[in-house]
Amino acid sequence: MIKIEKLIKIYSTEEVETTALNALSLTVKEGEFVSIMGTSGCGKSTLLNIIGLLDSPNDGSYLFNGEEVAHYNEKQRAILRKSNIGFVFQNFNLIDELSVYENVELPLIYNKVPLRERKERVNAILSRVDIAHRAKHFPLQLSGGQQQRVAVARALVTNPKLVLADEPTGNLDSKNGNEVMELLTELNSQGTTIIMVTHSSYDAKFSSRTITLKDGIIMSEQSNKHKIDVLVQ
Amino acid sequence: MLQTWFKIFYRNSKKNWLNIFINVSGFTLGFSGLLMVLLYLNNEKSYNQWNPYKNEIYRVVHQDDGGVMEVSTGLEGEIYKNRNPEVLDYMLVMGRYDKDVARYENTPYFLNKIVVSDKKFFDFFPFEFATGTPKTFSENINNTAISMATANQIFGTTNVLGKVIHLDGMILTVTGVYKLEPYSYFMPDIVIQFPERMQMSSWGNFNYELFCKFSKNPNIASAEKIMNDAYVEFRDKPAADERGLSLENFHDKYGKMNNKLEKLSTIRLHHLAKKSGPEGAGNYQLLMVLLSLSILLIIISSVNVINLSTASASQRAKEVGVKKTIGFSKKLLIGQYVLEIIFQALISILFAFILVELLLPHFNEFIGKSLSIFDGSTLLVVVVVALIISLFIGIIPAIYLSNFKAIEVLKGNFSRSKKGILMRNAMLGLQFLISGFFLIGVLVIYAQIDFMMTKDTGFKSDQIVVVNLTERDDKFKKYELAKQILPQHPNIIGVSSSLFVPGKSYVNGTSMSYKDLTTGVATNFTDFNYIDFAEVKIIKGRNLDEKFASDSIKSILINETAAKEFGIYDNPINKKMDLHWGEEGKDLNIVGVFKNIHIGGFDEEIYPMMIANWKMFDRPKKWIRDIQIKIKPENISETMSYIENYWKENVEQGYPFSYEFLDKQYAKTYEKYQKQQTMFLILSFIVILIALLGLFALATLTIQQRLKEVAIRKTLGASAKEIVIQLVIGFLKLSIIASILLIPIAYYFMQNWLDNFVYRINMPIWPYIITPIILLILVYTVVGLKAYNATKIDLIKYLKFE
Repeated sequence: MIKIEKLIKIYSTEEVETTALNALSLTVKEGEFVSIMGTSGCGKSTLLNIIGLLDSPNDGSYLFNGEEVAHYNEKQRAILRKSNIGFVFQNFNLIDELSVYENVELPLIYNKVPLRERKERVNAILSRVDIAHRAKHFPLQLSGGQQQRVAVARALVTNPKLVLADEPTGNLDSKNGNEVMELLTELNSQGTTIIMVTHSSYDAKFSSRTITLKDGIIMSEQSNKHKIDVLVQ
Repeated sequence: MLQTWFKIFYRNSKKNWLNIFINVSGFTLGFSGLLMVLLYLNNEKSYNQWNPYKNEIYRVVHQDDGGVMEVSTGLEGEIYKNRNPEVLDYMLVMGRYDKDVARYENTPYFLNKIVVSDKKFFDFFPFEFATGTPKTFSENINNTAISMATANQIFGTTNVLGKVIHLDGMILTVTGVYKLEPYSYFMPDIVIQFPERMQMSSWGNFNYELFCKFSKNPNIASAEKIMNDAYVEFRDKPAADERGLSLENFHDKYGKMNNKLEKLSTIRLHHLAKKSGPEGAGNYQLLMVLLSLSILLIIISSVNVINLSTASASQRAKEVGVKKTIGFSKKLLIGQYVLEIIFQALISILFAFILVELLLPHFNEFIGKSLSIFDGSTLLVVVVVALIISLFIGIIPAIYLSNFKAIEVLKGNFSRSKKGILMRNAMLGLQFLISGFFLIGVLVIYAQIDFMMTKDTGFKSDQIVVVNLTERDDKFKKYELAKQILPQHPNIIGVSSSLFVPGKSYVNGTSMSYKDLTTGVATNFTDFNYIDFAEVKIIKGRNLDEKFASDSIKSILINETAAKEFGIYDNPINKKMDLHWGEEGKDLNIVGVFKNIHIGGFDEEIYPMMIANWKMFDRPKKWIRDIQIKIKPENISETMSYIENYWKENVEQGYPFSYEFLDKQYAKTYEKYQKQQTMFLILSFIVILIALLGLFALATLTIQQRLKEVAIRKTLGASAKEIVIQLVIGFLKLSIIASILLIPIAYYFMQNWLDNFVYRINMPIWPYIITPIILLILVYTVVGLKAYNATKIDLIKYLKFE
């Protein structure tokens, strides 16, 4: 699904140039659950942003479903993004002024889904993440775990082929964190490709493969044998 | 502490320089406007304040169906004095200045402001005498008093008692030199007394301004009643008896006169009659319009201050949190933020003083005054007003800011308060409303002025020069000579004359009867060629013509209004009219009807008018005041200097040559409204500019606070267009609500304004359509620009950090 080759991303300010990604190559197959780990500043968030088409590389190749997207412009990226990729952020990034229902509905509106279908899909996804009873609440009225579940629902409502999660448990306690990880694992088992950036090796164990970055290149790559099977548990 | 406060204020200002700029510039313009209007108002109010009897002296005016006359008869004063013990004395004076040449040892000196009065003038206007006394002035009818400037002009000294000057056939002895006061109802160069030949004995002869001096705190309502009763007894009753009518029938037929009193201390601005002294009347309406506009300007600026302070509050929330944590009391916090606003207001006042000093020359030209900024009490008023306003509007954002809960703010849990947003929206709506009001005002005023400038006045005023005849003697002969000589010049098309000159209002009127019907008519006398000269249209019958002997004896023309009032519009020709002018006014014959001419401008009704030839009666020829000369548009200055030379050599030696173009003179009838238009135009530009600046800053702030939301929406796939609409829609909704509220308010005020005009446009609809559209476009442009920039943000920055 994703094939990245020799990707280079350099951030330059007036005084210094920082190489965030240094000719990095990576392949993710459809249906995989990949964790990206590494110390702060190793380039993991940059990599996720580029994969999520929020940012563009300076050089290298990025094939998304066989299509070269590395040099897509803003508009092309937006089109690809809204129908293919869902995002889950560490700080949830819900809109405070909109209710749970409205937050989840938003990507469907931008995808021009008709009203009736929107209603069905939002209600279905809210039930699936077990937050339907809070549909009319506003984000600030929910706990962190609940907010993240809403964010997950919003990421999934468009049935994206790829979900990108940037430290999804970073702002949550362990119980709520576990819940979110279980939700992601369940999604993955149903076929959604997931790429997750995390600091937590515990969380990483939920995924099928862990990649460790350092200074913009891949240091190590390992398959997770001790996969926690939430369905069995 | 003050140092810390100032440091924080200074650094905040540097960060939010746009807010400070908008606050200070708005305040500066608002305070400048207020200062100028107050200087103007104060100047007008200072008229007659020097007069120790300002609260006891009243002018008598007469009100009937036709309007209010500022003149009285020579008979009333004595009666009022006898009937009312509160009337201590009365004084008769001519209400306008005469111009004439005074001669001393055969040298002519032109005097512009000659006051002709009875001997009690200085009892009512007690100018201080440098030499001589008011008493000696009043002892002899041939005594005169002159101003110090006149004394210096004629004699080169003020030591002039007993000197003799010649004026208008009189030999006058100077018995006093007085010091003029700068703001007075009369500011004469010279005061002379009524010559014996002036009769004061007729009830129909309204020639004089009558001033009554009352005892302290007079009962004005009762005084007016006594006057009305006396008027009925001495004037109406004998007149009714003479006509064989009962008093009731007489009043039904001729109307009843209502006497009113106008106090000297306020007469400059508050007067029922159109004229208020030879020094002119204050334009109270313009003053009130200006005052209201300057207040609106201050409101707009205040709204900006409140909105920008509350909107930028989130940026300062942390400061509040920290200050509260380290023990600042709420009072102290409020005090600090109020101080910030007051500080900005004080800076604005300084700028306003500078701005006003720079603008005053232009403003003076505009209102025809010479105001100076060095008017301590007005400056003080503006400073106090500025302080009160800034204190008041400073408290609102200060309370808003100081109400932040310390802990929540520090934890970063600060969200926009619903109440705050509601208030801000209301304020913004108010601004849209005021801006829209100005726009509609400009458009409606424009439509009416355009109507007046293009409307058919009934006469042509292009290329006509009106030259004033000043010298009293042989005026008509001089006119007839000029009529023969001047047209020999190739660029002079013709010469004519008319008693009524457009733009100079009505000068003469008498009652006229047709059968049983009597009404007042304006009695105009003209030369035979006048109708053609002024291109007045004859719509029925024929023009007066020299060929017919009867046209110099009995024939008259009347205007449409007169024809309608007498009920003879359909068949007016050869109707016999009686002009109440003794035997010679009987059986006048109508030979034609002319199209109405707007003599006095469009805020004055067209009265019934008759036109007869100058020579029909003896008296009118003496009243001729000016000569109208039609010239070709080529070489105007050469033509004018030819006329001037001719004038000075053959018509009036020793008199200044004064003339005006008729179209310019006529334009003065709507000059007042043109000034209002200019004022509205300038102010609406300023108001809309301030409002837009405020809107821009507010949009910047609110959009800044919504950048995270923008980033989220964008990530979820919103297009730039969708995001712009999302950000702009709130502002657009507000401007639509404001527009809906605006329509009835503006309609009410503009309808009132249009009611000033007797001849006016119907309220146009298009300003009410176009204004909301302009508002929407402006709002969309200003906010849209900011919103579009917001769609270009760096997504990652706003998704990561809050």
